Amino acid sequence: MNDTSHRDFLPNQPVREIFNEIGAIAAFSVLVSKQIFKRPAELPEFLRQSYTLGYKALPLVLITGFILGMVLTIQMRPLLVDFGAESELPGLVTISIVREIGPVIIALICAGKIASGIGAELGSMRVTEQIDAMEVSGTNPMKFLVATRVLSTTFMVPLLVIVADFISLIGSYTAMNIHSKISLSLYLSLSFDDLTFLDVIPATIKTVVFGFIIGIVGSYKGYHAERGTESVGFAANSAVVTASLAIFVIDLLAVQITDLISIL
Amino acid sequence: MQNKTLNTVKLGIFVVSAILIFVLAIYYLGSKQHLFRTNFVIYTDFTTVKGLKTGNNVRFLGIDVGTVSAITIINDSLIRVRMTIDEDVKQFIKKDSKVEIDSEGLMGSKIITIFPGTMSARIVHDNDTLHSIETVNVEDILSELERTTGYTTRVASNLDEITRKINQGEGDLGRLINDNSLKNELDRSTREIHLLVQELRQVAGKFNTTENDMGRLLNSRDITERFAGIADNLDSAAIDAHRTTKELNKAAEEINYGNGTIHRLIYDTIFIQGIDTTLKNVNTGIGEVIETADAIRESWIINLFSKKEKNK
Repeated sequence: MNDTSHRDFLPNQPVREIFNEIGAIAAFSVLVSKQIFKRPAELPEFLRQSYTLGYKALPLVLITGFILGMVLTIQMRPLLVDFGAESELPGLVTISIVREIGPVIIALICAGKIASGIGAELGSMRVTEQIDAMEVSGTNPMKFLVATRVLSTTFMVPLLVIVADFISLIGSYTAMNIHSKISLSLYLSLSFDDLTFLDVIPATIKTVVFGFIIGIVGSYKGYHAERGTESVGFAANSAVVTASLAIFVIDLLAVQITDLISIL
Repeated sequence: MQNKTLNTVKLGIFVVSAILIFVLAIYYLGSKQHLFRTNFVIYTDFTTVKGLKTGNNVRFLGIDVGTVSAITIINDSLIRVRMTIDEDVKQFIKKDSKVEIDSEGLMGSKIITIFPGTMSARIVHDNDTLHSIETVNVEDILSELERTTGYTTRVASNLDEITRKINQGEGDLGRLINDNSLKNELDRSTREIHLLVQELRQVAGKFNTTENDMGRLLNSRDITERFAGIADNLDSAAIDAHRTTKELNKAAEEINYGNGTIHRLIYDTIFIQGIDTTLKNVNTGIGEVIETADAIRESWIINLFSKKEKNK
């Protein structure tokens, strides 16, 4: 009887695997963080990764951001027109984009493009034993491969989000001008009317964390890929899923903390 | 190598652009909140701030000129609001300007409105405190509206009750409108009034003739003429009485101030004493005469003649 109840309280296998994964990623994050601050800095590789992971994701982010702003404005407009509050539309869209939708959507896109890319790249390097070869040749793969990628995503994702937010506002302005005429200066004035530093700063800090998580999860999944070609695909897929989930969880925590700060 | 440099340039352009957008956004946001301009601070006190928050706009003459920079509770009935105002509008805000909390639209956020002061008042200084006006907010209006609606409902209910009673013939008004018997009573009353009027008319006709006392009193001139004669007699009697009174007054004046006997009799003590003395002398004289008469009566000569008389 006692043995049965004791067994009920033990976590089952999937739960145990989740906690195991979280613990392993946390330990991996600590290792990578140490490598980031370790000299010599891998600046060329960092710039190359920033270009590959950040700049190359720019078209996707720009298109997504523009469509995001347009769609949000078009969807919200009828509701606000019903309330006779169409003039509140720019402020509402801006707050939605800057606070929440911009960072999360762009982070998810980055998770899809960047995390999967890193997972697949490092996974294939693991499968083809390139990482092992680097270790043998005396190059620190954690520093050269992982730290540079994590650092570049940490820097690039916030910049991508900033650009995407800006493009979203342009998209929103375009959508506003479909039904009614509004000047850009008035639109920007209305957009920034309700916006405060408490909206911008926490959202920007959040994107830094998102970038770090995308780099870490992608690198972890690829770095710890198992032998076999199918594990590359699995690493890429797993990186996207885990990074996306992590983004939502971090977003939830960030919103709670921001809310707490605004109350104080 | 050239391709690598080109990529780095592209990356650089992207990074600089993103950072520039961020910095411009922060600057625009800051300028909206008057962070990058010369500001001054003024305070105001409220009993309640009605949901006002730090960062809400301060409006003067319809223009956003500052923001609420702090809200501090002083005690349980006093809240101090710190406002950061653009230095450029300082010259237009006077010391007697009033401050009020308003709403931006029915559902909008709160704002502080500064009303202009008088022309003669001095310009506000840094850290001055302006007087506040407690305004009626939407909640108060809705509460008042709710109370008014309650009253209206009660009035409507009462009116409904009254009309129901009238329709059902309850009460005097209801009976008046609905009861036919009351109409008959009214008809009867009207007929009686009509008869009464006719009788009154007959009485009035009698008054117009001289066949009875009242008619004569009202219509005959004889009585009036008699009354006029009586009045004339009364007038002449009054004139006589007046004349008599004047003569009496004259006599009284003669008595009081004249030299007559009555005046001396009343007011002249020497004369009175003389009379007293005279009377005393008269009395004495009379006493002596009586004594003389008694002596004569007692004298023998008289008695002699008296006895002869008796003997006869």
